[in-house]
Amino acid sequence: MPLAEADIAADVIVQTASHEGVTDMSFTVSSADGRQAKRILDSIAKEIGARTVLAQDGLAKVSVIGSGIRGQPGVAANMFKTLSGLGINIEMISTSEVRITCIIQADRIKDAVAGLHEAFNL
Amino acid sequence: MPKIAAVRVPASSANLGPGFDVLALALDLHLEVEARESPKTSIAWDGEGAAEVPLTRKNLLVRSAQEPFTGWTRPLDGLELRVRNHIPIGRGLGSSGAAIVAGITLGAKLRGLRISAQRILELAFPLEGHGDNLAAALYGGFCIAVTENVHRLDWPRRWRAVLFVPDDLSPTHEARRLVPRRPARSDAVFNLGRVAEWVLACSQHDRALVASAMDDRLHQPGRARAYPYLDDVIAAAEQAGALGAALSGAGGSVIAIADRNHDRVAKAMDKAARARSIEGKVMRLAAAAAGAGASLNQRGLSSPRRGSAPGLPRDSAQTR
Repeated sequence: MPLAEADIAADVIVQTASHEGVTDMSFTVSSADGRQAKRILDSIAKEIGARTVLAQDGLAKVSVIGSGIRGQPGVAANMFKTLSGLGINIEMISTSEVRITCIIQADRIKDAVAGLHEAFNL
Repeated sequence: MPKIAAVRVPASSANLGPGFDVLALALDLHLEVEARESPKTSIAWDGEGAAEVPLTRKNLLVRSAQEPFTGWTRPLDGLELRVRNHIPIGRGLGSSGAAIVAGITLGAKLRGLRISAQRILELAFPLEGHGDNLAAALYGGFCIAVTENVHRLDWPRRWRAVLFVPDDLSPTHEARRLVPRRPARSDAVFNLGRVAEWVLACSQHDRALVASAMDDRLHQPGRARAYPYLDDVIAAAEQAGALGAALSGAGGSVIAIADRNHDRVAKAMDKAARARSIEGKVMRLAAAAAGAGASLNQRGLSSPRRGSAPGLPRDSAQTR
């Protein structure tokens, strides 16, 4: 994979369900790697006939982590409600059995962390 | 040790004549509150409204510190509030809007949450139902509230508000019913032009536009039935040299704008009301350039104006 060859680590990889033969694929890279990643992807996009490559800067990742997430409904809902209550838009979401990750605007990351601590009584 | 949060929110005069539920001017008359979380709710209320507002969990300050936060963050146990209020309650001077903004601001600060002024407005809107007073309370100055979108203009510095505030209470919800649900098209057109004139008057400091800009056919004719002194007080203010005058919010206060002769305008308004057997007081106020939103950016939680707010014990004060 060309990104890996360029020593760029991709994180929070999300692929949407295909719709009319088209699929969105999103992931995050470190901001330092952003430009290079975009260049590489633009050339790949031409090769495979992808519609477009969109890049967005100034994002940050906030996660709720814990084995208690498994089998306990409402953790994700709680997280989303808290971020929405703070007026923070969620750009991307990815989850595992023990982790819920949201990508948000970087300038709101402190507010998000403080709010989530409060909401989960940490 | 429990955190102490403080906020200072200006009064406001909404509508300003034609701008029904849209225009408001922040006034240099404030509600000041210090709060901390405590197992039981208690309120020490100093100033205007001590006999008129409930000093329980039903108090609008307490409700506003709790209800907008329900479902997305932790409820506060109870609130210990020290209130110093200079805003007459239920007289059309934005006391409820100020209380809602104060409550939400304190609720956020006590929970350690940072939310924007815009977000406070969004959380406040369902409690108030209209955005004009909320906008002025949050942003100060002359505000244009397009539901939850606010545009703020600087108020001309030389223009002062002269207010006649009646002694008798006028609950807003009653006066609101006096406003026709379906205004005539000619009246809507009349008001549209005058709202535009207000924006011009304020942005270009054009004193000659104010008299026309404060004229209204949407809500004041209906409300004049509840306030039979309204037309006389407006006419008296204008004859005494005010640039213009209108009902303040849902009344029963009357606001006049003047850039000179403030005393003469005040006396004329008072005299006109008394001729109608209405007792009240007159106030001369500058506009408030800053709203409560200005204190959101302060890291400290102590009183925005040092020593002005009633003190909770300072030794337990803690800033975040």
